[in-house]
Amino acid sequence: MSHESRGFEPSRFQKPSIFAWVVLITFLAFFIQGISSADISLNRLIVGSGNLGEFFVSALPPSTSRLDVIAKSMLETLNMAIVGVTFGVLLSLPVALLCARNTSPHAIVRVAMINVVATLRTIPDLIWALIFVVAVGLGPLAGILAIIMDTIGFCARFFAERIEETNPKPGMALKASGASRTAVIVGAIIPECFPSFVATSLYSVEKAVRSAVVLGLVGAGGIGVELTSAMNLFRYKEALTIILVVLVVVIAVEQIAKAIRARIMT
Amino acid sequence: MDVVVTGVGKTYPDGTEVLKGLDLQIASGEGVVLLGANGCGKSTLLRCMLGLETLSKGDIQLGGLSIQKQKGRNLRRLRSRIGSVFQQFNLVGNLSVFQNVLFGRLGNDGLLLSLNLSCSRANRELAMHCLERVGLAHLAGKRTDSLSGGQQQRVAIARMLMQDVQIVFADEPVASLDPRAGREVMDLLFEIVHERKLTVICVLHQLELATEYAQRLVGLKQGRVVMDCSPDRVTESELAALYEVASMEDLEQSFAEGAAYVS
Repeated sequence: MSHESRGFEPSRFQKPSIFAWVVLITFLAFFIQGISSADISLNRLIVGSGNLGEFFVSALPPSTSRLDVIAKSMLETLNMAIVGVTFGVLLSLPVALLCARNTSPHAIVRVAMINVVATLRTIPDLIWALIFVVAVGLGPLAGILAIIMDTIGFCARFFAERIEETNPKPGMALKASGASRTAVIVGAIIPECFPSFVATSLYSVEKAVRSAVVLGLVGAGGIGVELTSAMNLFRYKEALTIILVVLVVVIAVEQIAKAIRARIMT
Repeated sequence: MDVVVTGVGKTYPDGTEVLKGLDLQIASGEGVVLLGANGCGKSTLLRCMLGLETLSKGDIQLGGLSIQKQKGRNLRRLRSRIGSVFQQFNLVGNLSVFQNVLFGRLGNDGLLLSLNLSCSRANRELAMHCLERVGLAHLAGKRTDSLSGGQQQRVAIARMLMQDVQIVFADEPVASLDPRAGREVMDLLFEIVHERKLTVICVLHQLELATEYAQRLVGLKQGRVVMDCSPDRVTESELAALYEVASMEDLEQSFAEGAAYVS
């Protein structure tokens, strides 16, 4: 190293910027406040472990007396997830086309739709379920509507991002040969994005199955209703059966989705 | 279809002036090769001729119709008479060869009649005929991105044949191909052009191919036409000046190094 360039050598440690300090201090403040407000203590954790052990002792062996009812509820949960995701994905596609920079008809439409999707995404599925239970009453319909909203919030965003990443050249070639705007979208953009759309939709199915279980807790149908009743009535053996059934179904759905994704992405 | 370019200027929003009052007339059935260093405006001129860029000034008429003044259905109808061949083929890679060829009917027949699922028997037969013409009928069902570069360019030519083309714009059609595949594509393209008596405007960097296939060489430099002659009349000093090199040896060396191939 020459004498002149010695002064330009960067130091090993870079002094953080003011912004980095603000972020770090804010994070630490929330973290410490979170720890103290949660009243975390070793004693509580030890007692909690004992309670957990008691729960498993009273829950074992899992009861199979109401397996038919549990299976029926699980099927209802799966139905909710599949119907909700199907409608959600179908609605996500036009919404995503309106959100994507390269397919949206106007900047105002684009900004408006991006905000609608952001709102759908920001509201948790459980809140959607509570709203729809009020709107359409208890049962699977409320759950399906909640999953539709949640799926649009998730899929429309990822679909739009994928649409914006498309190679513009095939579309430009179709446009140059006289294709209309719709033909360019259907002929060039959607085929290129299709594998990614399917992969995202499969993630949505996984997410929706997990969601559908929880939605039952607020009365939106499915196996969650059975789980709440079992827990509230201290029927822990039945509750454990429900938890195991949910575990098996969720893992199965994840594995099937993984296999399909691996096939379409190659 | 004849082409009349009158005083065409193109300035991009960032202030880059690519075309500076360019004038050019190309007669129907003429084969013109555009030459010039990178950034001289060749590809921009082709994009302007296709109506893919808005002109800053001037006018471009194709077959007596101003491309800038055509809107909606009329613009699409005019474009359906223009065949385009691009450097990167610009095909939809994860669709079949057959579907890509069928897309050539989008401008004429619309979306439904250009999709494999819903197109007419006549369009299916025409697509197979076009694929036969380029020697790829046996690959009709293959995924397009599984084909070699030369084969993909042939698919692009078959797609062009599906249109009722009267003029062909080829933007460096062999730049992504090896010399042998490049020559095969040029042979096929110009055979079709001669068969159908089409007008062709082709951007090339390979001087050997340019002089072999063109009836007329047009050189662009800094957005203006600075050379316009038949291939047998072009001089080495003109070409050296066009590419801003001292001699033909320097030019050949720069082509060999690939500098001029970078788009």
